[in-house]
Amino acid sequence: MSLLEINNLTTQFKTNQGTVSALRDVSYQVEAGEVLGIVGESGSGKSVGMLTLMGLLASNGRVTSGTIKFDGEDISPSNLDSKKKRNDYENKMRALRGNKMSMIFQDPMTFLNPVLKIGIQMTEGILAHTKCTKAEARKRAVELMKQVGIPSPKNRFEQYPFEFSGGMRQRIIIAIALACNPKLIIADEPTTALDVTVQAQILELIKKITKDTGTAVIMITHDLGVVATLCDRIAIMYGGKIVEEGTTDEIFYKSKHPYTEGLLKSINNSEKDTSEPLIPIPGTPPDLLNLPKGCAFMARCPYTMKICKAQQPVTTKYSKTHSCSCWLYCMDESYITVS
Amino acid sequence: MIKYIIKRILIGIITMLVLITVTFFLVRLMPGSPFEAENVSASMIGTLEKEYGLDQPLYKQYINYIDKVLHGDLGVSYKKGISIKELIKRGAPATMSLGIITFIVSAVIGIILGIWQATTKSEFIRGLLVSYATLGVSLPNFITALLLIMVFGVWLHLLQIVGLSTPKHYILPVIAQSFGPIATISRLVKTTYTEAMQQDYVIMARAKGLDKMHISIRHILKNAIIPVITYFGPCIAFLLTGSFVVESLFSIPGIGKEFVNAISNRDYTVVMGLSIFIGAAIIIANLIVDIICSFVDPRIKLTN
Amino acid sequence: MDDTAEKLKSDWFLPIDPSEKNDEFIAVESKSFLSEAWGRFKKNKRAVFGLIVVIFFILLAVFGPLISKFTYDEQNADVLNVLPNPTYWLGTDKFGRDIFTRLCYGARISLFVGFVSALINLIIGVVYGGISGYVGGKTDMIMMRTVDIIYAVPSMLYVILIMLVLGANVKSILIGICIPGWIGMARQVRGQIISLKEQEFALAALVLGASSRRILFKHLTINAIGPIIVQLTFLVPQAIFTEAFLSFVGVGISAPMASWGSMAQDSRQLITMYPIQLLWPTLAICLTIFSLNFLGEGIGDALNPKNR
Repeated sequence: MSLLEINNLTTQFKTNQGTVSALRDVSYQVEAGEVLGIVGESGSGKSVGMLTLMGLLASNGRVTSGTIKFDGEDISPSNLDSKKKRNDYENKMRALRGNKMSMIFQDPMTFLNPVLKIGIQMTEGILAHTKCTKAEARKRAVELMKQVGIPSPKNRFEQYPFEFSGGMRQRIIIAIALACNPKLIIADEPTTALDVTVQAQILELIKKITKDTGTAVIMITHDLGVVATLCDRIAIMYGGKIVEEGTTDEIFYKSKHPYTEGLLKSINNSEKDTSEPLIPIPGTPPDLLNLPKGCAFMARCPYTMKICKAQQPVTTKYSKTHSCSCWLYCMDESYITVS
Repeated sequence: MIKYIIKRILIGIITMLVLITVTFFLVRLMPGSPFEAENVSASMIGTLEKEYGLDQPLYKQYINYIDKVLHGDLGVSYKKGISIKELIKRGAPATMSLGIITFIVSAVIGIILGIWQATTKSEFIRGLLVSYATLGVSLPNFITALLLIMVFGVWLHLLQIVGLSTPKHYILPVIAQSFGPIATISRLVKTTYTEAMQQDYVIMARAKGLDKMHISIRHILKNAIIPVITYFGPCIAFLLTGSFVVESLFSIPGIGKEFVNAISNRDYTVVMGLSIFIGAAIIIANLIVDIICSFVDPRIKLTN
Repeated sequence: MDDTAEKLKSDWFLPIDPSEKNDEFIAVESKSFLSEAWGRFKKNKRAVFGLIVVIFFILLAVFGPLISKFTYDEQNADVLNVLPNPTYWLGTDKFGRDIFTRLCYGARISLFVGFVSALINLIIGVVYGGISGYVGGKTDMIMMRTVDIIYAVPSMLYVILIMLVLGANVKSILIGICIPGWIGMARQVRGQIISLKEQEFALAALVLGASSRRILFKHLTINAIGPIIVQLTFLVPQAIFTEAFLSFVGVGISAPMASWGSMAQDSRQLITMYPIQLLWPTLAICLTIFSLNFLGEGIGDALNPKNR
């Protein structure tokens, strides 16, 4: 049994302009101790997917269908049609969040509360989930700060976020995520907001932690370079859907989807032959308000066929781990339902 | 932070000097002699002016006046013949007790209504609270006081409308005075609270699995309350100037009523003395609020 | 039959014509900023109500005295404290003066004071705040400290003292309101200018060689116009309130001239016997200030691009 099983998850947001389909029929699993990378451009639904998983969607967001199973427990956020169901779900999630399942956020500048001491922000989660005294929580927090590489943690404990540098704050956020020895950590672009030199340190830290603790990690990023060194498996998202999924090797060496292909061509890699040019993907990400009837990547795809505009592509499996949703690999009339 | 507080105190002192100077020269510019009255002869006025030093050159009078004020002497009422210090001493208990109660009522109810407005899901309640906030901000306090007197005092005979002798006497003046500040505070709290609710650190707090109450108080309210504390300075100023009419309308023997009487009697020295006193009270209140703020918001320590 | 169907189906795998790729996306119709703002304003019922009431009072102030058969100071001992009737639409006061006529004159004073002082405060505030924010450095510090010092004492104290020196008339009320009244505007403008100054388009204009004064008054103020208009709409009710307060305390408009504040004060003594006399001026003050605030909020929401 997988640690996390997500099936057919669909999330929508009601806005003034209409309904935004941020997540469309997404399914994937995470095994215990595994590192899964989810890659996509901004607006591809990767962050929304994680917030849906954690039950932290903004009030205008709604999960219209799908199931989530975590560590043997059903935590599906769909069909919460009565107040009691919503409360039950919220209580269940509260017990899990920051405990068995925690999150590392993107921007260390805004995710720490500016008017609370670091120590309070570190211990409050521990105090909420474990039966321990304030002194014990404090001890644990200092331990965690040491673990994530913060010098003189005892003095730092009494300081406010603005007295920390960006990299140090991100370390604090990681330490908070680690506080209760979670089984799953979701890292939402943990290095995007940092300087390049600090990015490498933080990635190194996350790698070390996953190795030491055996925690499963979902790594969300728009940077294939980040996932290459860190992840066991990679899922590529586009327009609220997973378009290709496989092991790191399969994605890097046997990629199928034109979008993955484009992503690979556009990464800057020092090992790459310098004569090989960087090729950006033309066009802009799709407007989730007006998604096309067919494939969302159609408008930017170099291989668009007539069917791509009319019908969503079907998923083809290449191995136990590798699958891709694209018409190019299943040109079989029997899949066509439109006329 | 000590540097910040010293800076604030210095600004306060300069403000005080400016206030004293402005009031002194404005009052000296006023037409006629302060002793002019129907039964006072011109020679009498001359003697009186000499007695009070009003025949000296203006700059000398100014230096004398500053010297006196710095020694806590605000002068005497030429019309009533008693010292302004004495007037303040008599009026202070009523003004202070009314002011403090009003302030507490405004802050507590304002904050509660503001949070309610920010968090309620009912459109009806939100509409109601928004309408109240606009009404409260719009309604001049003398109008509120008059309406209250008309309805509860005159038509329904439910509540007392003269003086402050029993706790029940406080009800109408306190409502009249706090009606506006409650609206302003609730509006402010609604804005800051809504803003704080949408911050990333609230998502982070939820991701830690904290319960709602804990998040609302420790994470949201603590951030939302800082701009509200800064408003407490102007709020105290508003209550003090508001006391002018409310005390007159409810015949409360306070400093505000004394001030309005002095205005209508053209008792200039009292207007001057009380202006300086009220101004000083407000400057000190602002200073205290600033210092409290610097303790609540750790960021001020660094930026200043 | 089957063959042709099969053939048609496999056509789906032919490359698409590039022109067909994007035709599903219809560009959102773009409207000008002002017409969009007007659309948002129209939807706001409270703001529209505010606008109607304000227009009503403006019409009352302009044409009211013309259609009335009485003057504001005409006393008639035969008709003291009369209740509303066909001759005296809103009744008469304790001197037998027509309340409707006095109310119209009161509207003239209130609206005149409100709009003129707002305009003066606008000009002073924009110039002062604009210079302070644009020049920056020591000039800015000195200018803002000055503002802090004036602001630290409630304006009402200054206004009362000024009224006592200058005497009770409309001109001195205007001066009294305007001496401390521009400060909020100046601060607002300064804040806007400073935040706009840091944005790219100001730099772009500078690089393109626009002279610094042109930058200040064209690019910057035009972009700061939204918040300035909102501040302006709140200055008007503020000034109306101050005028009413002054007249009520007895240093504003004095007899026999009529202002809403002095009418409220006059009828106060008769509160037990003729409460209706108090009702008219209080109602007029409330409605006007209320509507102006609604109007201000509505304009603010409409001009805020975030509300699209």
